[in-house]
Amino acid sequence: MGGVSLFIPCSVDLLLAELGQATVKLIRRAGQNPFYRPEQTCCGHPAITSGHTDLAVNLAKRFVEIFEKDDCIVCPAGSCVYTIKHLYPRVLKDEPAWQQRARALATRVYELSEYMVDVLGVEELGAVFQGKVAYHESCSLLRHLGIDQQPKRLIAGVKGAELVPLTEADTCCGFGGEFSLRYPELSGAILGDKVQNFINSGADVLLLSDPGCLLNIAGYLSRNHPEKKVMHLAQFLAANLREEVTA
Amino acid sequence: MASNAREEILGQLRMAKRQVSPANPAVGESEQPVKGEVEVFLREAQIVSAKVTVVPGKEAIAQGLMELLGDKEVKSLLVVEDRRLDNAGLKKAARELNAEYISAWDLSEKEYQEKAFACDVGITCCDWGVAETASVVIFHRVDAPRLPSVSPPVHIGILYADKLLKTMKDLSLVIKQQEPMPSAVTIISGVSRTADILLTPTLGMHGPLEVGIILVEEGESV
Amino acid sequence: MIPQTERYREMVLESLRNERQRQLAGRVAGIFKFLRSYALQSYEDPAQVMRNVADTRARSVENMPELLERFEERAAAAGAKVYWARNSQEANRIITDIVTAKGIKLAVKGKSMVSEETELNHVLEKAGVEVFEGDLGEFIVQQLHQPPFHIVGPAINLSAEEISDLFVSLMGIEPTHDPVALGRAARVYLRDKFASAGVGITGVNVAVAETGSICLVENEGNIRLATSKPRIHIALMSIEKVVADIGEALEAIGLLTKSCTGQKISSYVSVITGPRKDGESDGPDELHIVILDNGRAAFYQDPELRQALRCIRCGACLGVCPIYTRIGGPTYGWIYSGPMGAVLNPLLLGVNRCQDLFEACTQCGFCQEVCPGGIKHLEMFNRYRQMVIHGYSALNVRKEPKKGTRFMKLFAWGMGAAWRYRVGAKLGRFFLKRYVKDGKIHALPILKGWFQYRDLPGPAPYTFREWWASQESKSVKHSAGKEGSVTHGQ
Repeated sequence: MGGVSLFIPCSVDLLLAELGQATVKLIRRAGQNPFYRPEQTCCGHPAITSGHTDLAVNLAKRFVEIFEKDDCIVCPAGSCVYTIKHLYPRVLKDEPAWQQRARALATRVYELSEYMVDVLGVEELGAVFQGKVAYHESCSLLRHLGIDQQPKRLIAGVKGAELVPLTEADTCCGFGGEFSLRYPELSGAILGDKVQNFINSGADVLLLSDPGCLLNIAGYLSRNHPEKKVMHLAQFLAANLREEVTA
Repeated sequence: MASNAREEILGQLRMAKRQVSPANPAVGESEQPVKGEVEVFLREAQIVSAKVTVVPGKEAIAQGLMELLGDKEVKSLLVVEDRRLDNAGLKKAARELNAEYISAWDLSEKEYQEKAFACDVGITCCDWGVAETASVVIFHRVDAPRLPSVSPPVHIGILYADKLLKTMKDLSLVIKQQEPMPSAVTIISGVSRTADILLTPTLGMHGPLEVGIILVEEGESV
Repeated sequence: MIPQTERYREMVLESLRNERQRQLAGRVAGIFKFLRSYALQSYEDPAQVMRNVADTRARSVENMPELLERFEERAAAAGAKVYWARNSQEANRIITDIVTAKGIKLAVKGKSMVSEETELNHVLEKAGVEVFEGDLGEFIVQQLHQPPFHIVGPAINLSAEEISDLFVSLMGIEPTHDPVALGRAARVYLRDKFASAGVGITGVNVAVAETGSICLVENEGNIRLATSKPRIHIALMSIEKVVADIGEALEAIGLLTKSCTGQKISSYVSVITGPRKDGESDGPDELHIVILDNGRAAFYQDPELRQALRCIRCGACLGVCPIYTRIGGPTYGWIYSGPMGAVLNPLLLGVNRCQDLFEACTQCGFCQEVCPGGIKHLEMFNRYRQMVIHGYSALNVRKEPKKGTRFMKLFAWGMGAAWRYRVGAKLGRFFLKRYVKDGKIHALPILKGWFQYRDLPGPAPYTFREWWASQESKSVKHSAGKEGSVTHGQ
């Protein structure tokens, strides 16, 4: 199926719809046709990482069935893309036929900035922002998917935006899914340091590419530093797009 | 009882499903060790706090020793005499330093070991060097004991430049050629050190506090 | 060291409250992390070396029984006596018997994690043998009866004052806060022990099958002294230390030192093959090598768990772990700390009693990225989590379903069909909206851990799918909307 099939994580669907909207806006701005399969639910990441791999088998199969007819699947969440590409083969290891299907599908699943830069060759979408930004390297993108240049190229493509160094940008924000619930003090300590590094960087806004990191850091800022801003890269780009001059 | 332990352990290991493979295919049988460069050795020696003096030939070894030790008060030198040091003039150098010259071979084993702990300077030949890490390597044999390069507070090693290798990999090729293996091979790279207290790097711990290397440019070491 | 892994949560809170320790853990880790990445640059191709060593370790582990047999054969041919021990008691007994049979009363020790596994020092002392750790950091924590703070720097958390107090009472020196002076004092004090000890006891960093050699890596010189002067040398190694040849050994050692302390190579690497030969004037008359299993052959059966044996004890994972950098070593409750502790302790002590170690992980993956052994820590942790949920008889893991398992079952069921998801979403969002104040949720009756430090955003008035459905139907009405081209929906 041609066009761009959107995989919108459950967290985004339920709590961060604006991020999904921004994703759609960017893909359209890049001249592509996104579409959305409403049967989609969740990639199963929380079940897998908590050790309930058996519960994720059906979710993995469901995902494969829904999306394998699509040529190109794009998702604004590193942790979901990591799950689909790297964890599904483990989840489906006892069913080689399904595992094969999952592996074949994985080659067509992209994280959003990866899709923009590597597939479309687009780095400038026409966004303008006068100010300083810092970029937090979500673990799922940086280490699990090897995606670090693409988001930075998209930031470089924003006219007027200055990317400032962020101390320990490559260090975890402390979310870790259920970790944040079960070991709150440890999570809070890691998160507090991440936020302090952001504040010290002098950036006007912190950018990142994963909804989990976003909820984590935004939640902390809301409680402790409500004047500071964190945004998903997609939302930042979408919000700062100069309106296209239509013919 | 003990052999039961061996059989149990090995038996358990062999029972497991494994991917047994032959030896590392990457190592070529015919690889030859590559020579190292003196400039690299000198640069790296600074990093590991080894003082190096380069002398043209064997006849200048004594002068090298004076350069390394001249500013110190040393009372005794324990020398591991060796064909590579024949006529190097070390006894004369000792006199100039007002230091007692002790040949390890003049002593009984007990006396030698005591002296190794009591002397100020241990002087030994080194069989090989590695430029990338400024290492000197001693193959311990009957004529090359261990203590003089570890227990005295100062160790002076003499290395002939034709024995300088490029990398640790080249050293491993040399070691592979040894048959039989020496009872011990020591790879020395600079002074002893620690950072165990407050992560403060400290030069000198149990081994020598200072290391000097006399690098002899010409002349084939035996 | 008596395991205290069950006290993890308690110790975490203590560690986090200890401002000084927290800062130190962070600083220490930062330093090691920097040293490692700087040192790796000295390789022409660091990634290739990482792959080589990971391959070496993987291959060595797969070939372990053959390599061990070859090592034993070659070591014995060189004059070493080789023993096998199934567990701590056997290893301790073998070593104690050797030492006491010769009437030895004083032993000097090189740092050996395996000897801490077996608590060898304690057993020797009970048998009337005085034991002195030669490594400065180990010596200090031994004298203070404290657990090690970090695998490489066991005493780096201690203040100069604490160490000075110890040395004053032990050695009668003048008090000083100068690390150099303290080091010199230890040199003088321990020199006697090296000179007069009847036995040197060390671990083994790498054992070489081809030659029957053991390789020992150090900076201080205590191992060289302990293996040159005493007449007996006893080396204790666990089964996974063996590699095929000296080339693999030196390559791994070069990566070990860079990963561990940022050094191209340590001050000393000793490659020991048998005891002294006839006519030599120093070196031990006897070399005894004890090969210890201690539970490793049991988990070796599992091809995935077996990768834990690839660890070369470099400690690189500690420096990059967001957890370790906040709590330090003792919080892990046993001799192995940091991510390597979270991998090893469950296998050596029991998965059930080490749960916090592998649960308290954000799965950031930094550890596996820096591991010279190529270990996939996250795979290991995931296996442990699965084992606890379902039980795993091969390793005597008791089934202990998690608190969250019931929720997870409901979650997975709910996500299994679009209509259930939509119903759940409606209920969930309805529930959440009741707690929204000023566009934020500050607290819920559930998920208390989250709200200790954070808010949640008030959910948008619509879900993404509701928005999509509405804008899709709008654009069906207007064929070319403001948003651009007509969408394709299937």
